[in-house]
Parts: sequence; C-alpha cells; structure tokens
Amino acid sequence: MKKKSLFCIILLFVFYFSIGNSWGESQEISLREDDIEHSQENLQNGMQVVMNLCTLCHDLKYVRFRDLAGIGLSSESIDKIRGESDANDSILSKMNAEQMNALFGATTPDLSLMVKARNGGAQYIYSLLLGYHERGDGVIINSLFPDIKMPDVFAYSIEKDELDRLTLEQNARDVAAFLVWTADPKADERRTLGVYVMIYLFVLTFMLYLVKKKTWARLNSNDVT
Amino acid sequence: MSKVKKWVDQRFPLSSFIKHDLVEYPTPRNLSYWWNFGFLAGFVLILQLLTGIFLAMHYKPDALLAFDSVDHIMREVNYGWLIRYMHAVGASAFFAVIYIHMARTLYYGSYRAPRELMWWSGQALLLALMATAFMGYLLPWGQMSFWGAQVITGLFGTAPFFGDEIVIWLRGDFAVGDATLTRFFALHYLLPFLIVSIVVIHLIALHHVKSSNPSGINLSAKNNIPFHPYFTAKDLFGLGIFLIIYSYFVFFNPEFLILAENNIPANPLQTPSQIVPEWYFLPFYAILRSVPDLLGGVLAMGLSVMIFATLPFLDRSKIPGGAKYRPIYRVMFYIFVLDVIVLTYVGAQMPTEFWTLVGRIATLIYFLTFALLPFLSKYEEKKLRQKGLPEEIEELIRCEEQYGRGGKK
Repeated sequence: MKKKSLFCIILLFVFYFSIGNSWGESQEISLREDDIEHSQENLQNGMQVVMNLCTLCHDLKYVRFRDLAGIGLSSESIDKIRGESDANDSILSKMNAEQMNALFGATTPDLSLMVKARNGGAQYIYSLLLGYHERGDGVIINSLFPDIKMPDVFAYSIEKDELDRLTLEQNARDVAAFLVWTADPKADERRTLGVYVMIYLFVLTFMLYLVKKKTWARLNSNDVT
Repeated sequence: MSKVKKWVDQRFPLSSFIKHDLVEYPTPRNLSYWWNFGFLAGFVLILQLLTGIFLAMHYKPDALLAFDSVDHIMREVNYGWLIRYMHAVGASAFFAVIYIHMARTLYYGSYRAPRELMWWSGQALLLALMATAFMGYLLPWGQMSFWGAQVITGLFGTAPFFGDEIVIWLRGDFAVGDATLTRFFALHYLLPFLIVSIVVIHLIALHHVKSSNPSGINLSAKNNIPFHPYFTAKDLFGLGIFLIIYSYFVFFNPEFLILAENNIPANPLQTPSQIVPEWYFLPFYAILRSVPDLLGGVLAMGLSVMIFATLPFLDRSKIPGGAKYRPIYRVMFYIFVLDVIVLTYVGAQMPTEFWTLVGRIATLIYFLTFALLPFLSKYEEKKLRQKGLPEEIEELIRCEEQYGRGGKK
C-alpha cells in the first residue's frame, strides 16, 4: 500500500510538472535572468518611470491614482502625481487610440495586467525594455519582439556610458516590479492571509488526524478481514 | 427540543433519515483513503456553488463589460480576489478529485454489478461537470476563453446536414459573441443545480447498494461499521489534507493554471498562437487532434468520454475485488493511467510531427484498453480459476452465477 501511494504521488508530480513546463515552454525566448527586487523604493522608482514615460502612450486603466497608496505613497505625493485628475480616476494615457494608430500603426495595450498577460511575466517585461539594439545598417530592432511598434523609449540601444546603462537597467527592473504590483496589487495581502490559513489548516488537520486515530482505536483490529 | 423533533418526525422522517443514512449507515471498515474522494467531490461542489453565487453578484455577462468586471472583482470587491481564485482553483480541484474518484472506481472494479447505476449516474455527473466547466471558462472573456469556445462550438459544425445550424444555435450568433456569453452564463448558473440533483440520485443508489470495498466481497455484518464516528473522522482528516493543497494554490500560486493569454481581453480579430483548453480537457483534446479527419476526431473525442459507461459490459471477469487480485487487469489499469497522462502532455504541445505521432499511439492504446478488456478479463478469470482460488471465493462466484451479483447468499 505504501509503495502504491508513493507511486501515485510520483505520478502526480510528473503530471504537475508536465503541465507547468509544457505551458512555460510554449514560447521559446531567452529572457534576462537578473533578480527583480520588489522593495518599496523599487516600486516607487518604477512608478515614476511608468508615469513619466510609459503613460505617454499606455493606459493602466485598472489602476486608480488612489491605489498608489498601496506602494507606500502619501496622499500628498499622489496629489502631485495625479495633477488635474481625480484620485478615483484610472491612470490613462493622454493620447487616444486614433492618435496612437496614426503614430505607430498599432493600438497600445493596457499595461495594468501586462505581467500576467505574457509568458515570462516580469522577466519578459524587463527583457523586452532592454531588448533593443542597433543592427548593422543603423536600424534599431528589438531582439525579443522584432515586430514591435514601440520605439526604444529608454534609448538603451544608443547609450554608451556604462554607468548610465546600469541606471537604465535598474529602471527597467523597477518598471517590471511596478507592473507586477499593478497586475496583482492584492498579492501581499493574499500571501499574508495565506500564511495564517496554512498554519490554521496544519493545526486543524493534525488534530483531525488525532481524532481519527483515537476513534479508530476503539475498533478491535482482529476483526478486519 | 424533543417536542419539536417529535412534531417533525410525525410528518417527515428526519430522525430516522439521520440515524439510518448518516449515523448508523453501515460502511465497510476496510475502506482506504481512496474512498475519501467522493466526499471531497461533494465538498468542492458546495464550495463552487457558494463562491459562484458571490461571483455572480459582481460579474457582468456582457461582452463589453465581462473582462473589466472580473478585474473589478479582483481589485475592488472585498475579498473578491479570494472568492475568484477559490472558484478558479476550485474548478481544477473538482476535476482532480473526480479523476481520482474515477481511477479508484476503475482500480477496484467498483463499476461492476450491482453498482452500474452508480457508475452511470457518475458518467452523467462527469458530462454535466465538463459542460459546466467549459461554459464557465468563457465567462472571464479572455483570449483563451473566447478562442476555446470558438473552437469547441465550431466542432459541432462537423455534424452531418445540420452542422452549421447547430453551431449558430449554440452560439446564438455566427461567431462567439455577446449572445454566447449571456447564454453560457445562464447555463453555467443552471447546470450546477442539475449536478446537485444527479448527486442526490448517485447517493440514493449508493445507500441502496452500499460502498464497494478493497476486497470486493460483500462483508459480513461485523466488518461493517457505522459511518459516524468512524468515517466522519476519516473523511474530515482527508478534507484537511485536501484543503492544505487547495489553499497552497489559492494563496500562493493562484495563476498556475491560468494561461497568460487569458489575461488579455478577448479579441475576435487576433487568434492566439496556440489554442489550448484547460488541463482537464487536454487528454480528450489530444484524441481529437490525433484523428486525421475532423468528424472522426470529434466522434473519437466524444467516444473517449462516453466509453467509460460501457465498462460494466466490457469487464466480464467474475473475480471479486480490485486490480490487486487481477494481475492482467492491474497492468491494464496502470497502462491506461500512464496513457492518459501522456495524452494530457501531448494535448498541450504544438501539433508537430513527433507529438502527433505520440498522440496517435496514445489514442490507440486508450481505445485498445477498452476493446481488449472483454477478452482479457475473461481470459484472466479462466487462468485464475485454473490456478485455483480460495474455496470461499469460488463459492461466492458460484453464488453469483446462481442468483446474480449482489443477490442473497
């Protein structure tokens, strides 16, 4: 019986990883592997970059200005960021879809869920932002997404100064970190609650195990066929 | 209190029902933990009903609003993220539990007489569950929701003569759209209650024929024990283990089974690079793709689900008990389980030449298992009886030949 259970558990693991891997690998791209930090400074820096650069064209329609309190911004700083907009307004680009179409020949996707909407998540965003490089003929292309209509907004491909390049890389990581937050602002709350739930369930299950053991001890084991 | 009880009992068999079917209900004492999964399936069903009702209070079945309303639930509704992730993870948990429940029935041959009606009501439950899950998957209105529904409803177009009409009738439009979303929502809300009523039938049949048990022999009275407190305790412990695994996914890995594509709003103008159904449909999807002809594929897929219902006829062995006592059947069981896992994997791959070949072999093995069962089970019984079975089992088989299985001894 023990052996059989073990066999089943192994099967389940094979199953688990076969599903997980097969979906992860469906897009074969090599992503940058640097660690993305998620401290409040990172998130706020990422937010600054997103507000200054990304929201020129992209919306974050599921995020409201007041939500930014979630990354530790005071209401004064939020007021500064939102300007004329209401605190309850979504973060929207100043441009509309037609203007974007006229400029780039594509509508810009909303960024609020972008991390969840791409295989690779935050690493994908980070790698994409820094994926631009100059081809031999002087044309700048993105190695991760050759057909992309978005220009190299960080000017990373033409930046020669080593120190400035490092800053840009840090900014790209922070943008990714901020977009992780916008995609799932309840993640911290979820994990905190999850820890309590797990502790509760482990204690409860252990007690239920004892109850089961004690109840069944009443039976005379000789009768079992 | 006792007055109220008496008043009710004169009018409704409440006390005797509780006594007969919940407390004293005789249960074989040798049931292993594999027998927990029926109870777990009932638990997940209630979980899905409750979370689903709360989701429906905030969800908007409108092609223009659906995706946003799901995000509204995730961000603005109090604990909406919890309810939605519980529901989404719960769907996968439901299938995991049901598939294990089915595998247990297969391993122990519990579908055989006198439990055929349990098996067939279970088959109806599986179909209803699949339909519910399929329609529920459209509701978030993401890319994979939309294209999955588009592909699967499109399969009905292979039906002879009325194919196109059936597809339009199902979708309510020429393509999946607002009309499809609203009807899927209505049916997704309705079907669970149908499931509840089939569960009642399933349970009435169970309490009539009683649980099967690992030995496969109807146990004498002394080896049956009252359901309460023994199996209430055992089921609750099993529930604790289940909840730990379930909560891990809900709280720490909720997007594990949600495809990235489905976090992009449905776009009828842009087909995703690969259309993949949810993991619990992958084996059947792999069978669909393995048959070169589309109509043949659709038929094979339908058959692969429905073929389970034929098992009471296909398994002709009279050897009582599970695969433990049946060497050939046991090997077939493990091959089948491995085969389904291979099909699941193949279903998620791009249909390259290699994976198509693997899928075809796995499909062949899938159906061969069923096709060979009548012969192998009979052969196995003959061999085992030649080798000599314990006298009591021989007598049991003779008894059954005379009175029919489950008859009086």
